[in-house]
Amino acid sequence: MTKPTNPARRRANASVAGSPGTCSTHAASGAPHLDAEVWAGPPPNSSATRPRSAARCVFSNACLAYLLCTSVAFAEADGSWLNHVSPKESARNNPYASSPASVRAGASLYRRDCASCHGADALGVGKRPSLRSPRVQRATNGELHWLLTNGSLTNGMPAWSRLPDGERWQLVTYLHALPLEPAKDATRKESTH
Amino acid sequence: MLRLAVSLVFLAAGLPPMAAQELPYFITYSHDLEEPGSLEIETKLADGHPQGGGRFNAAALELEYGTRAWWTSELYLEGQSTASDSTVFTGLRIENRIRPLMTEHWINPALYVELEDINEANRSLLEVVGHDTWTDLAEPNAIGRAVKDREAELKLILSSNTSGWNISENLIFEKNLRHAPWEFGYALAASRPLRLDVGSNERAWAPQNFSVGAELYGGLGDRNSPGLHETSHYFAPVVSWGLPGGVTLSASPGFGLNGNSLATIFRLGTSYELGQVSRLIIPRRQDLR
Repeated sequence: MTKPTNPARRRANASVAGSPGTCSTHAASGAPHLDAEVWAGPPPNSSATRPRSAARCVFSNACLAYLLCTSVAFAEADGSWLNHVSPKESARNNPYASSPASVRAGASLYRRDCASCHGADALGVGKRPSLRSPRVQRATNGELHWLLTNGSLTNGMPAWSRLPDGERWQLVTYLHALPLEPAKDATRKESTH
Repeated sequence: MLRLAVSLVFLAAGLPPMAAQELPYFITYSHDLEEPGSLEIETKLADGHPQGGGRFNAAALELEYGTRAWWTSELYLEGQSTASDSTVFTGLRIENRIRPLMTEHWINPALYVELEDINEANRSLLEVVGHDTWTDLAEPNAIGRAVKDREAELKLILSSNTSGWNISENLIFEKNLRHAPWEFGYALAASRPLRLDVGSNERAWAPQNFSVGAELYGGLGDRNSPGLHETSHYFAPVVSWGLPGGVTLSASPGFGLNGNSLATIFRLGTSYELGQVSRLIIPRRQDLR
């Protein structure tokens, strides 16, 4: 395969996906084929370009699909997880409830495992919901423990079953010790969790 | 490229580190996946000395990204250095793990699909399958790196978290995409934190920051000759230590269980998790306010 020797040409060539007609994504999007403008390259029917162009096309399509999947990864939390909690789970008692030491321990766990998504103030970040919303604060100990254990995978909340049971209860204790979020934001946050 | 790498380092410096309790395994996978949007950077080092060959140090750099809460993607870059021989890049792996069930059960399955583009000088020993033996690890690098292994690997991961214990079982199915038959292997592991809640001692040496356990792994032959003959097997105690700054260190001395295995293999691992890397790419509404 004849390669461009000019660095500018090489950069321009690298920025497009190959020769015309080999990649439907770029053909459909009308992306300009700089190869033709800057560097004539090998003949259009050269077999040397085709495998590489096809590979680039597959790679770029795979990247596009991956980015699309990633961009829709975080659906709005809607509280639908509550429908999955059985009455027995919901009624479970928190063995660490009302203990100041457990609140401290829960705060430490929160900083380690939860703050990067829900914010250091637990008011949520972006589509990651506030944990000081009325919905969360009204949830029973058992319901929050269920959520930590199972997550809400389709809504972007991971399962934390790898945390020992005691640590999950300590987190629940801490969450219930948090103050309710400021009133002016309450309506907006209510709709996201 | 260098500019991009430097930019990424500076951007990453502004991200909050996470140090979620990591399982201490080197070989075995559990159903626990990466948090969505987070990136874990991990290194796995393996040190071994096959009879008649040079002592080797193999390194694998692992980038693990939580694509969704039920889907994790990983990229491995691997290399090794052999005493009195050379240091070589030995290939890469791309893998995906998916949880088909959305809630926790007594046993939780996860599906694992991996594509490997490695050569036979690879000594990371991230899995043992088929009739792998210590003689594969004694081959000179010049010969090994000339032989490409493009393989597909499937794993059925079964895992349970109960009473503080994690118990994981992996069944491995590997196929060289060119000519070789399917090869089989297994990995079993169990681990537990030293303490099941956070006590009043929150220092680095606090027992809740340590997990201990053991792994057992080996080959199960291939499609033409399944079974345990001419296969290697290892038993490896494991320990991990979650440091307050977000780094997790792990170590594992492994012991060969038969004459086909390396006598010992020592592993060291480090991992560091960057929370919410996805925000660098896709700013959220609230971030923009």
